[in-house]
Amino acid sequence: MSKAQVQASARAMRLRRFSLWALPVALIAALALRGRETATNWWRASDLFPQPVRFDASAPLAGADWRVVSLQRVAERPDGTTVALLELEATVRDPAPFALLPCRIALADGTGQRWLPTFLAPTEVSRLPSRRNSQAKTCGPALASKPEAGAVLAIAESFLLPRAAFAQVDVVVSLAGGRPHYLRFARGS
Amino acid sequence: MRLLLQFIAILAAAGMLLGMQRSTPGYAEITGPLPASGRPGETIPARSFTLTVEKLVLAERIRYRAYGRDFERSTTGLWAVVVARLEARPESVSIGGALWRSTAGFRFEASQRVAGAPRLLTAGRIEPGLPARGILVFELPRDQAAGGTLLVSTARWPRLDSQARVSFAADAAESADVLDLNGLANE
Repeated sequence: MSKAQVQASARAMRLRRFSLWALPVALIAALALRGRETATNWWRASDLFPQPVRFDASAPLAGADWRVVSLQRVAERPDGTTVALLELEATVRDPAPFALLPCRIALADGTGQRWLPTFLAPTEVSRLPSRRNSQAKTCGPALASKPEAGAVLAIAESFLLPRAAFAQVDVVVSLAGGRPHYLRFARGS
Repeated sequence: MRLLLQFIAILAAAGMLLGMQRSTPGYAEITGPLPASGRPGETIPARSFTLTVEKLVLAERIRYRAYGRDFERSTTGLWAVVVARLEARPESVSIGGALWRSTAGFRFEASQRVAGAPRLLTAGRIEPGLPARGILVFELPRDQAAGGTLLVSTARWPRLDSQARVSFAADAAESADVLDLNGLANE
């Protein structure tokens, strides 16, 4: 084999080795490019980082300051269900991120169980004198009303949960403009 | 000899690729429902709920009270009423998909003719820690009732989400001429 042939063979070998090492890099790069949008959407839609807040304190999220006004037991049903009413107050600071939908408000316990808002029958709402003439909206319509900076919104949501769980649940507030961060108003603190 | 070996290797590789291509499931199958299967009486854990089927009753007619009135519904086929218990975990859920798949492969959605009937599991929300016992009602042709499978999911068309599947033996159903849904749900 001539010297030129040996050099050509060594060059081809180097090229093949380079191609072999480049393959995993190219695969990872292709996956990252293809999945970037999906990963971004997942990041913006997930509740990943809880921000613990004292139950009687106020905390900023998605362009507003949030405060729990009350979490009350409205009624008890014979099957052990508690009907609960949560009232929140949001003071809008930046309307743009605040108006992004959807919003998620839930009650959560320490074991990972979450109760989502449910429709409350008017007969059960009227048990609370303070609610009879209330203008409070649920979270979605409150955000969709596109309030201006400085507006103070009353938000109310109702829940059905086991009697034993009521005393232990925290209030979770998650907004599209704040994710993956969310507020957790802890009952114990 | 070496040429022959290379030829055989290429043929084997082509055959393998063809086999892989033919056996690769389609997109709809890959992203379809994730089955969680069981039998009546078993508790079937799905991603966001558990399902326990107590019994299946086939009836000629059903009777129930709704909106302050008594209703009686007849059918040219059969009413299939499944009594089941659902528990949400870890989050509140609604049952958006309840299907009856017959042995012939036909799928029947839960009947809309019984709106307002008591304890319909497709009507309300299931909350964690508050298991719900209720009914699922299907209206089936007579030849599609025996040995079917109940499919239950939170979404009507579940994609990459659990679907609880309960297979019934051909002789698993109780039968009734007129079935009182009020009594069945509250018994």
